Amino acid sequence: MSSQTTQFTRQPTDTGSAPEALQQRSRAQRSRNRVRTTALFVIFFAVFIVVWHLATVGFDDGGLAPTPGATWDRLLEMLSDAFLLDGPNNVGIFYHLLASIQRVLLGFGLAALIAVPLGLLLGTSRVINDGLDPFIQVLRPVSPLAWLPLGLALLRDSQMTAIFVIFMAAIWPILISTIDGVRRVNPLFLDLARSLETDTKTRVLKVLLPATLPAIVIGLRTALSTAWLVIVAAEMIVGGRGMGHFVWNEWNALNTPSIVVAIVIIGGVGFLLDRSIAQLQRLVPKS
Amino acid sequence: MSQTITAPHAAEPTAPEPVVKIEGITKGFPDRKKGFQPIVGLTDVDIQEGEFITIIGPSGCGKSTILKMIAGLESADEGSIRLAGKPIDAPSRELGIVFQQHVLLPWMSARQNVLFALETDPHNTRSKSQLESLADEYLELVNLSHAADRRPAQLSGGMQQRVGIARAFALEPKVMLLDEPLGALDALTRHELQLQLLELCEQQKRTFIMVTHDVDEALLLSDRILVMGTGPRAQIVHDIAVPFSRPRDVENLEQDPKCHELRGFLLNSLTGH
Ligand SMILES: Nc1ncnc2c1ncn2[C@@H]1O[C@H](COP(=O)(O)OP(=O)(O)OP(=O)(O)O)[C@@H](O)[C@H]1O
Ligand SMILES: [Mg+2]
Repeated sequence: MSSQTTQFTRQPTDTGSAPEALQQRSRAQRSRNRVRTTALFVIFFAVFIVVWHLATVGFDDGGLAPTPGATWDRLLEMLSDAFLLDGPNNVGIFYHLLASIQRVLLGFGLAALIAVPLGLLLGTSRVINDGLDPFIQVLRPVSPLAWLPLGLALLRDSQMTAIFVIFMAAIWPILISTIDGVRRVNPLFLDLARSLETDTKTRVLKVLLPATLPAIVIGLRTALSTAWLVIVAAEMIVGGRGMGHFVWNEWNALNTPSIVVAIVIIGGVGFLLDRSIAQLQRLVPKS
Repeated sequence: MSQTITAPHAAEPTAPEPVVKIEGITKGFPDRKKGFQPIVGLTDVDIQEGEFITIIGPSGCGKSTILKMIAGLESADEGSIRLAGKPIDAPSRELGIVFQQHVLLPWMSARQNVLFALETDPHNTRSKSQLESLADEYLELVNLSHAADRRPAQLSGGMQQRVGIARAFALEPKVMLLDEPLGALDALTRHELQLQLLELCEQQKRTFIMVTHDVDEALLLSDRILVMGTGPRAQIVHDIAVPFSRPRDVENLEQDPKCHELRGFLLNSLTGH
């Protein structure tokens, strides 16, 4: 009890120097934490490599298991041949990556173009939404890959089919997030728009859309990462160029180090795609 | 000799037509548990041009609902509300609204919010730059010129409410509807804005219908105070003329014994004794 009161009474006399000292302490704390995380990362990475090495060396079944050394060599090789374009079977990793990114962006863009206006409509109109909702609920849980044979049969083009599969993967998250966003727009915004006698166009473009934008961007983010997950699997089946096709091809050639390199590249690019939308998310004002 | 000249309703030939005429409106809401719940049941109310009317009453008695019906945002179940003789069946720019909580579009600056209200006028004939200077003029009127470029999130509660007031004034509506415009503010800011509102409405000479919880605010600003009772079917229990001359002054008002008397009466009727 008495020690508490002395603490309280002593504090004010310290306040002159306290903020400066506190700031310094928190700065020191932060840089110490940064050193710690870096050190931990290096240690984990080293342990990972050692375990990987031991596992693959001790588990050698005819050179199938990718050792860290072989993977490293393969990585350098693939990077130096990244832009190779020598006949249909000898294509650098860059062009595979480019093909995958193109398909994903095309399918994703088409999905956004349809899902955002549709979501705005369904979010505003209870009647239309209730009529369409059963379709959405049944189609949404279907793996986009299930559409692939249908796409091949109807579109008769592997390139278009891959884009179609991505479209089917990307449309649901955008649609559902947009509908949800519209429902959560502050109803007073709509009262305001009505009291200003605005026409439907102004109401949708100037009030509803900007107010829903944060939710739309969340939908876009989920859709893009789903699309990137799906494209590899789709390309394993449709062939042509692309990361999925590359992985499958290397498996047929029993070239497992290439697959490890491809996995790291797929993960890295997926991360970058997600970051770019996260960046967009920060630009959009909250509502 | 024509009989119409001596007909009883011609006895007051100078009585002007009310701006807002409320005729026996009722309104209720469906309730999931209790079925239909009647909320308000008003008898006739006439509001004359240039009057400042305050509606005061216990929480939940339906004041916001009445204001929304006058605004055309809700429709009455029975009865009618007329604006200058025409029934109100949809929201109209003739009615400027200041909502209970501020309703500023968060992705626009204060100026853009006011400008948005001006630009959406389907009968607008003014140029963009004229509208811009009009928006600035009204922001100036509420002393917000320095914050015109800030987003709502960067404004204090009082500033947000003032932008809302500027926006409603900028529409130059026939009738201003204010739903507890200062209710969410701290006492000091509220008092300051009350004085600002007093000044604004005395120089603007519009018709005001304001809802408030604050008896002093009602006495300071209004010409007439409508006291509502409790629901269901809440109605006006007192219709009080405020006898103070304009322009008003807080200090004079505070010393006026009539003000004390009215204040006591209002407080009594609000607490229901
Ligand atoms: N859309 C609605 N649906 C159902 N009930 C409603 C709706 N709007 C209002 N009510 C009910 O009507 C009654 C009156 O509401 P209102 O908002 O008009 O009260 P108020 O007098 O403005 O209260 P306060 O002083 O707290 O703002 C409340 O009981 C409320 O629950
Ligand atoms: Mg209210």
